[in-house]
Amino acid sequence: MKTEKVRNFLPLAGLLIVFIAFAVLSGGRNLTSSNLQSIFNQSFFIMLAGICATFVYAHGGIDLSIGGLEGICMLIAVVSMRNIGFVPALILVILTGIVSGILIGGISVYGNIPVFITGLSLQYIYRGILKVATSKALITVPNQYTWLDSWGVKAVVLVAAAAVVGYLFKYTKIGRYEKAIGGNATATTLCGVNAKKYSVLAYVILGIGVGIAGLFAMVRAGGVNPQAGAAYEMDVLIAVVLGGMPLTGGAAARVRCGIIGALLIVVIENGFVLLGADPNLVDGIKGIIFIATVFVTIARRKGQVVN
Amino acid sequence: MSKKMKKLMAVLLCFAMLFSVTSVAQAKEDTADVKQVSIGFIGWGYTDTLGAAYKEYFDYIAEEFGMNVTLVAGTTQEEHISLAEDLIEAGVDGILAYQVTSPMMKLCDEAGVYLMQFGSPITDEDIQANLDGSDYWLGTSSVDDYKSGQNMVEALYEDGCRNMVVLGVAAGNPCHDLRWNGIMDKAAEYDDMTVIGEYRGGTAAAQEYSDQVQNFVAMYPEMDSIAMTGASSGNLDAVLSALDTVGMTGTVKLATLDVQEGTDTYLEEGSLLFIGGGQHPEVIFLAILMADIIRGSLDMGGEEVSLVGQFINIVGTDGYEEFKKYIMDDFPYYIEELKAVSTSFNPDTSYQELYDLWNSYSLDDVETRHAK
Amino acid sequence: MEKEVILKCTKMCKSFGPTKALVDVDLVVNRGEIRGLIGENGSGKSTISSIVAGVLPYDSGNIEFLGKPHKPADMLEAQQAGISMVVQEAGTIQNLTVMANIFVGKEERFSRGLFLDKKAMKKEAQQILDEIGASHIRADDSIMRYNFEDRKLVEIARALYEKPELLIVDETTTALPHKGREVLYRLMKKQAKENRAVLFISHDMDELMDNCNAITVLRDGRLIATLNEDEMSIPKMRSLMIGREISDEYYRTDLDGSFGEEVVLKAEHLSAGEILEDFSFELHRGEILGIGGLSDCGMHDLGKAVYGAVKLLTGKVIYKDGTEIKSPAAAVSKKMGYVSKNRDIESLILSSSITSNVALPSLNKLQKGVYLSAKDEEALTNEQIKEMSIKCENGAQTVDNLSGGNKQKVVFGKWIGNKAEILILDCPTRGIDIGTKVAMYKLMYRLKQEGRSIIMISEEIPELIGMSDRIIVIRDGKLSGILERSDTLNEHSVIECML
Repeated sequence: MKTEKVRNFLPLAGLLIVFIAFAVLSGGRNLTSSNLQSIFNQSFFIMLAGICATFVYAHGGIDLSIGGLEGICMLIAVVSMRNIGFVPALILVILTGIVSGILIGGISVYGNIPVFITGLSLQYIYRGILKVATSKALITVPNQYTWLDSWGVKAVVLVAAAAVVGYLFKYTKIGRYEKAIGGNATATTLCGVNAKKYSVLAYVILGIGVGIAGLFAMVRAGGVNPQAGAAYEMDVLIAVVLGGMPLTGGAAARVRCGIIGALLIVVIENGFVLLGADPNLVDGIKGIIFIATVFVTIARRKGQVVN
Repeated sequence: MSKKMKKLMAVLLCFAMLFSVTSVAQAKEDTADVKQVSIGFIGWGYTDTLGAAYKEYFDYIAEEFGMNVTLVAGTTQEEHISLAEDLIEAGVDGILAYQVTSPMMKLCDEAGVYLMQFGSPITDEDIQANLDGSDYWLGTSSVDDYKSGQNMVEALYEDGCRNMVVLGVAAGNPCHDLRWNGIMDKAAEYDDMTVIGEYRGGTAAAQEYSDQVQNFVAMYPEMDSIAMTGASSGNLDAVLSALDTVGMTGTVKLATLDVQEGTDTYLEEGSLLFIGGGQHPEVIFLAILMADIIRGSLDMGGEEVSLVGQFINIVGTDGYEEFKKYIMDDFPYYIEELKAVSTSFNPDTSYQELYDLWNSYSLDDVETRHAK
Repeated sequence: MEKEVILKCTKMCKSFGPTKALVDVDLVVNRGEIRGLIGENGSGKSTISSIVAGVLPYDSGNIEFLGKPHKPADMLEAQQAGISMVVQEAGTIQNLTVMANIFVGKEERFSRGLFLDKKAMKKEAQQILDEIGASHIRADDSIMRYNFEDRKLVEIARALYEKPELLIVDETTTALPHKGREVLYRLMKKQAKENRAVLFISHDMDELMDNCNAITVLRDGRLIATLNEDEMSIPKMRSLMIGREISDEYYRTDLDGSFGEEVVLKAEHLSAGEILEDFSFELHRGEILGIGGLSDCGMHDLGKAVYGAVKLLTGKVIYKDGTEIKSPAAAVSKKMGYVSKNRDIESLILSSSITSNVALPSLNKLQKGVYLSAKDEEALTNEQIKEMSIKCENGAQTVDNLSGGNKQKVVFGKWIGNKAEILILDCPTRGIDIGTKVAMYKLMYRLKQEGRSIIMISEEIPELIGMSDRIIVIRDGKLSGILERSDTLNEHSVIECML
């Protein structure tokens, strides 16, 4: 259907417009291969979580705890890598992600608490743990792991994540179920779908993505402080919304939303530094560009960002 | 408005915004007769007392010193790395950051960009080892945050305070962490002084502190003093108003840092006992040094720079007038004075002279140089 | 009585994109009349009433109301001119009080500077509620204390407060239980007696026959005929609506209430919700089991209980192989299906495509290993689109734009596509045009003949009598009687069990 195609194209159009605008204004500075690498490196974390969050947003959920979760995973990763090794670190962060997903999904869905609130509560708990653990000093990464920071490794991970999530979303019933739950949870349950189980599954998948992101974030940042991972959940939320994901989920959810939105955010932030913008103005202008972009992508959707 | 129009408007809006941004940020023309140096500065923000002071000072000297300074801000280390990346892409020659890490060093080293840390010295051995391995690591500058913490407690103790509450921002900000440790360690030295309560807030929002103070007053009637690691972002007013609300003005004494407007009233009232600040020239000295090294007019011979500076402390009403006159409402070091210790402008000077100029910073010193 | 014209529409035309909703409609309504308006879905009856009430603008034509030109910009203007409308869906605002709802949009009448004169509001609101016979509703209560029926009464109070010259009732009675309908009939008669007028839109031909002085029939956007009192009859209406003769029997024609011996589903001592108590029955192979009663007797809870969709306080539901049905997932795995009375809220995902809706229960089966092909989904859906004659462009169309009848076909298609053996239907023909109803009844009979089993919960007694092999009547949550299909079975025997 023609309107569908146009609608799907718009977030991408927004991204291209902003990118080209910055290219023109910075005299092509943002097109150099090293800058493109920087953009990729910076957006990697949001893209990874954005991709893995597709199921959560598709069913109309939201995870506000992933900032704290990323911090905790960074902590677990660095402690493991200092003392045990890389592979155990990887396994542990994935496990942490799974446990976190079960916690937020389980408590919200089976305990009937709005997931918004469960997420915030978990966030506080994670931050508290992180504060205590890092209050003495910075915990740093041993040098031998810097190979993880290369964009090549990250690209492989990202492509793999996109492939797995994309496949599950498009070619298995999981994706259909999540969208159905987002569209109408009651009707979906009455069709015999165990909506609760699939909701929790969505959070588990997101948790795994965040765990892996945390491992890479830790290597990139070089250490963990109590603020690690701060605002991550908002970055991911803004990214998927900019990428065209409807907040209440449903049929219009797409895996690509996280990818496009993440690039958009990073291109803008990168662009501002390249232009040497007055830092006090940057936030304000960022906000305006975001609104303008949403405006452009939402005009077609007739307010479907919030169903 | 039709949908097409809306879309067009949005795009035009974006462009308009971006143009306005660049017009504000245009690189200055090569007015000074030295080679232009481009420096990236990674701070935590420019709306608090210290950050705003940094910005003002840079605006003052940048053009004269042939420097193009790009200010950016971030709180987490991931943000810092991203900012460093972007600054390098923007083509800076050197970066000043308040929290240097090994990956940041690696980035700079690979890109041939110089790196220095301000605010505190390097404390982590692993990081230091990595820094030593790079030719692009130039050194640090710091003001003695730890000592300031101690000074605060000392002043309170000498005024007769024995039961103290400590307020600080969340752990992770190196300056505040050092101050916190200084406070705690000094308090421990006095046998008859106790820390009866502490709060290490997440965001240090004024409201948070205000609430905490009222809680503490309610819980500990014997409380007689508060040591706070930093007072900007409205915290000074918030805490002192909170004390006023519960009728504790004058009974509970406050010691903190970040001198600002209104300090004189508080000092006169007696609720504020000790306040320190004025340490903002630190980053200016560091930047000038970095520019000198980049231009090649200063050769450190591989040795690390290690600038140490002072806070200016005000106890009681003593010295506030002068502080306001010379440090808040004026620049403690004028351009000519700074050029005199910069090898790019005065080839006869040296690193030691710059070091001494900054290290001898005090109220008397500024008064002597700028007496009006 | 002198026939004084109150509303005159001349050559009304209205299109929605390519769809012509009204074509040259000339409608004249007189004072003292209760004019019925009937037509299939898509005939234009709701469109014309919406236009007159100020909800929609018209493309061309002329309206004269009370002798003056009538072109309201919105409902409020139409109200001020003297036309009020009550609709089928919920029209009250959740978090307000009853009186706030009644005076919504007109608060300035009670404003004194910054404040509202709540006392005056309450008095006037209570007055109008008493007048319409709804004194059990307190004006200062929160609207949320009241159920759907009472809220509808509040809406009616709102409409009648302005003493409208023309009251439009747009399918309101469809969703109202018995008591609410009686109130509405009484008010309509009062309106007519006071020499005002009522435009009454409904699918229910019996109630139109009972209440109207004249009935206008629309079809495909055109006014076909207006039948006056002598000419009105149900067969006549039907044939005008469809455009061809239809035999009087559109339920089953046979009187054979037999069914298989095998018990496919057994309910034992069920208690659920607030009313249902110790309820037991058996469903057999090839049986259409009707369930009837007063609207709040617990029959709707029963439907959900048997499907595993509500928590059972006591008892269990057992499938023929001995498994207990404890959840909808279990029910679906045993080839059961449920058609809810709240179609839009519980049976469909409105923002999704027809394909997504139809294939949903069957995805489990369609997925082979870890691969689910969209083609398989589409194939299953296309089959159902054909079987059920769903009017649409293709399976990718979203459901929310379909008419009520087509939506219901999608719901049925979903279960037939999953090869359901046991169907639980709750008010399956509610809010559906006659053409689709006929198709539904034919379908149900065919399923019975194929050996499948149907539980049909309905508030329409003729439907129960017409279609069921057995009728179980519920009274106050308990089983009150079981009636068997026969030609002597009539409404009275059923009602007797209900009361």
